Amino acid sequence: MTTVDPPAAGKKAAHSPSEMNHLAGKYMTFKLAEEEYGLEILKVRDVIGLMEITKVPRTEDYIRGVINLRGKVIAVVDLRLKFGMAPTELSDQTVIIVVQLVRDGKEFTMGILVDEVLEVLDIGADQIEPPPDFGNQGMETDFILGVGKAENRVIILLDIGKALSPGNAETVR
Amino acid sequence: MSEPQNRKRILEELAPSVLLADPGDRDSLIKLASDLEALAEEAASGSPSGLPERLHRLAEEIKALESMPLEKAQEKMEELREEVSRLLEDPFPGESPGKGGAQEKAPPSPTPGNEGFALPEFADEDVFQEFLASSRNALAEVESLALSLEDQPDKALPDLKRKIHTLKGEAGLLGLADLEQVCHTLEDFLETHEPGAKTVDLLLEVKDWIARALEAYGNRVLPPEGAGRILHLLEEVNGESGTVPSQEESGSSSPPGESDLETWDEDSLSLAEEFLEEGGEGITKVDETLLAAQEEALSPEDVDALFRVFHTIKGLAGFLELEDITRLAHNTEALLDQARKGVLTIEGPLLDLLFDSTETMRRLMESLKEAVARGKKPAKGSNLEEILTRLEEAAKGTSSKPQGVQENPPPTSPQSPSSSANEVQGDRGERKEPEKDLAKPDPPRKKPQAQTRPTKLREFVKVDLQRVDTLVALIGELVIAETMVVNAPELEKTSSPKLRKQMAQMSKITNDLQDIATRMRMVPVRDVFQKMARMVRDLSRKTGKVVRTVIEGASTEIDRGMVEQLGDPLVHIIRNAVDHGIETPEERERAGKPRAGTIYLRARHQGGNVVIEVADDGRGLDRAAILAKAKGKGLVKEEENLTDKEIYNLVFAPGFSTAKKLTEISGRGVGMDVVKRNIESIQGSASISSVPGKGSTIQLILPLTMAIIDGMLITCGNERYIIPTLSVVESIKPKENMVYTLAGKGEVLSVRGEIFPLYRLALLLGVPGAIQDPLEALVVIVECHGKKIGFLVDDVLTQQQVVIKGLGDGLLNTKYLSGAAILNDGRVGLILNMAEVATLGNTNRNRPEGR
Repeated sequence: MTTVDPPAAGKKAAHSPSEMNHLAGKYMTFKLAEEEYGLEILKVRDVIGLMEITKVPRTEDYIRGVINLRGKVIAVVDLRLKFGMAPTELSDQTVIIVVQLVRDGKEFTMGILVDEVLEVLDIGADQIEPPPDFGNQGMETDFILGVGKAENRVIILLDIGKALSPGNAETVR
Repeated sequence: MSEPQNRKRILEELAPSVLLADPGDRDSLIKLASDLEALAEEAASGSPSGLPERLHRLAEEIKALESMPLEKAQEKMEELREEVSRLLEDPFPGESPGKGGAQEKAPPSPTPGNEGFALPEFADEDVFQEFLASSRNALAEVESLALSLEDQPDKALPDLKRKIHTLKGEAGLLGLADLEQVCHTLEDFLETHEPGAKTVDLLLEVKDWIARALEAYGNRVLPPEGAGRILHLLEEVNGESGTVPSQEESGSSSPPGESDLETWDEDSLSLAEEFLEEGGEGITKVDETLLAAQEEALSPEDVDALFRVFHTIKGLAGFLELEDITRLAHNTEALLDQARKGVLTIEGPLLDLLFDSTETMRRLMESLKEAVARGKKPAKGSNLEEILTRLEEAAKGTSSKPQGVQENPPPTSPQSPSSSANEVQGDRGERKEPEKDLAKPDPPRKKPQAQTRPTKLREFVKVDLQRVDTLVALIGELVIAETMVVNAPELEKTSSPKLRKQMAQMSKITNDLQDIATRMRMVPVRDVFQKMARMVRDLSRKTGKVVRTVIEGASTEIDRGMVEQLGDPLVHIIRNAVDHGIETPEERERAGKPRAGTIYLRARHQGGNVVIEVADDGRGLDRAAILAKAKGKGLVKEEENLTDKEIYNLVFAPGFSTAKKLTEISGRGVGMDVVKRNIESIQGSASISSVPGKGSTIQLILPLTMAIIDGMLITCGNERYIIPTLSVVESIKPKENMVYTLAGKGEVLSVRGEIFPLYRLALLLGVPGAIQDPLEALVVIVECHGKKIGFLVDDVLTQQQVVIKGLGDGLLNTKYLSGAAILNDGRVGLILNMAEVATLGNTNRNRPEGR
């Protein structure tokens, strides 16, 4: 786990750090294609290597199927497809991150297919900027919590609950 | 320590007893009751809100909890707990009596025409304000609950009662006696009346009065209209329908009554009701045991149980001063005591005698019930002398054992008890008479006392249910893990015999574990059936028909998870049977049937499943009406030719109901389709058969556990799926002339003269790579809603038991799947719900491959 250096003195954040305070914390970062994303570490239940995914007919195309996670059956989402990118190409770097969150008062467990898992980063409030505003293009970006900047990398911080909601398949780029 | 402080201390000590009190734990109840009594003593009498009296009453109610059925006791416990905690929060009726005294709270100057109102001195102003605010909400909810009372009485009524009860308590605490009294009378009213249009009207009127009263209180004036009128209204209605509310508090005149019968006081009345409920259950149990005794002699435990029932009844009845019941119970108990000690054996004439006694007891309880419904005590002096004497003589050691085993003096009881027993038997409907013949040597019934019986005595331990569930779940996972290990390809290659032996051993142990785990979750259907039996009784009264229940196989066990799921469907099925199936007594007589209709509740294990049947001997299903209705609803096309079986099963189709009028009982079109869906959701199937004029039978087939089903593993393209064996009729390899294409209908399969639709699973599911030529593939024939459908699959691999797992969160559009299973190799196998899969066909039967 790396801690991130504070930004150089003199550089002003676009918004005051205190607004982003609630977003500060540890994030599990991963790659989808060339971009880096992060999701709140507390929502990560497991990271497992790619295993056989059983297809489920007649579901949305971003649902890759279901897997057997130690006796429990969970669905696996191809996050790239969900975000409107080209489908994930399975490689030996491909990994399934199992997320667990509370939705409608109930526990909700799903796996997401990612190209590569990176590291757990501690991101401070002053390193997080609010989500980009796509203005008139009217795209939903409520699944983006903010944008983290660390070591000259840009990490898109996801509200994974919203990202996994049906119908949020917008282009992120 | 000053008085108030003293009391506060006691109340604080009371608090833990309140928390710990558990209706299932007699000692805790006793402790709580005595704590309450102690506190009642402490509280100076004369405190305005009657605190000591209230505490006394609480103590009494708590003591009474002991004799209540557990569920009801727990409900009551909750109420009592609330009341006590309220007392705890505001325990201080002050020393000084008097409402509206001018000491600390100066009343506002009364406006002309309105008398001023002031809170009693002990009442806290803040509490009052809070009460005003919260009661506004509460009243709004009362109103909406009252309005929904007609449609959803089961849901609304308990909530309503609770709200009123809370209001009453709060009013009491604040010394608002009128309000408290109104709420109290309303509570009684709700307790004893079925929700109906009139109830709702009355409720709303009371609610309005309360609202106005509260408003007035808030403005420190007395309500324009006193409680008199409202109370009178409530009591009038109570009197009309026969319940007399407590006379002590009401100021209105008592309704004209059956003046020759005594009235119950309020507490005893509710105790009497509880006695009836519990006694009724006890008697039903006795019946069941006695019925079983016809086949097989009673075990000592059974006799003991019988004894206890009558003993309890005797105690309760004695407490309520129900002389007839007490005497009958006493004599029966004495007889059973002799049996318990081994002096007598329950067989033959003695058995008859017990039946008679039970029957008489039941009759006594019925008349008690009627009396209680009118708030009166039952009339005395039913013709008990004969049976009492018989019981007495029998108990005295004049045994009536058959000649088979002579441990006791030869029977002296004359034949007449048996013959009158036979008369009583007559209207029991299903008792077998000839076996009472004393001359018959009856080997299975011989149980000489000298021989030690194999002890059926089972010990039980109380275990946290959650632990049991966790254990069962873990065992389930162990089974899966073990399967995966044992089937791992690497191990297949190893030919080490030692390893194989050990693996085999492990598999065996795991299987045994699974068996036990399954069994741990099983409960007998008895309770569900008993509840149904009681419901039948209530229903028969409501509909004016005479209906009895016969239960067979009550000890059949089913998974506890299923019991809950089974309840609603059974209720609905039985309501239908009583309402529409069984005819009125007059109709039945005209048809040459006995006046009393019978509902049979049967359960048995059959071929790895649990079969539950609800049968009636009523008028049967009206085939023509069903067909007509189905055609009218477009469920069936005009020219289609359906078998009887298919027609009857149409009642399960969605949106179907042939009731000429939807009665209050069988509901507003909830429909058998919901029943079927509920059953299917627990991996079961439902079907119905009928003989016109003779009756109908609904058969539910349920798996032994919800968690495991028997499934056929099939391949389709590159995928594998599981089809529940329960739905499968057969699987065949199609031959040359079996598969046709009918214009406009698609492919069909012809098997032994039957024709049914053929669906290609690959097309329905959008699976690529499946075998196209039917002759090279397999067809699995499935039955849905009484119709057969064939599904073309590639191959059937095996038939195996699989553990059903939920499909995982976040998946939509998966109605066609019942769940998922972990297969032997650890991969997920999707379990198909064939009925739903078939409907997929309606949308894309002829679409090309792919989604």
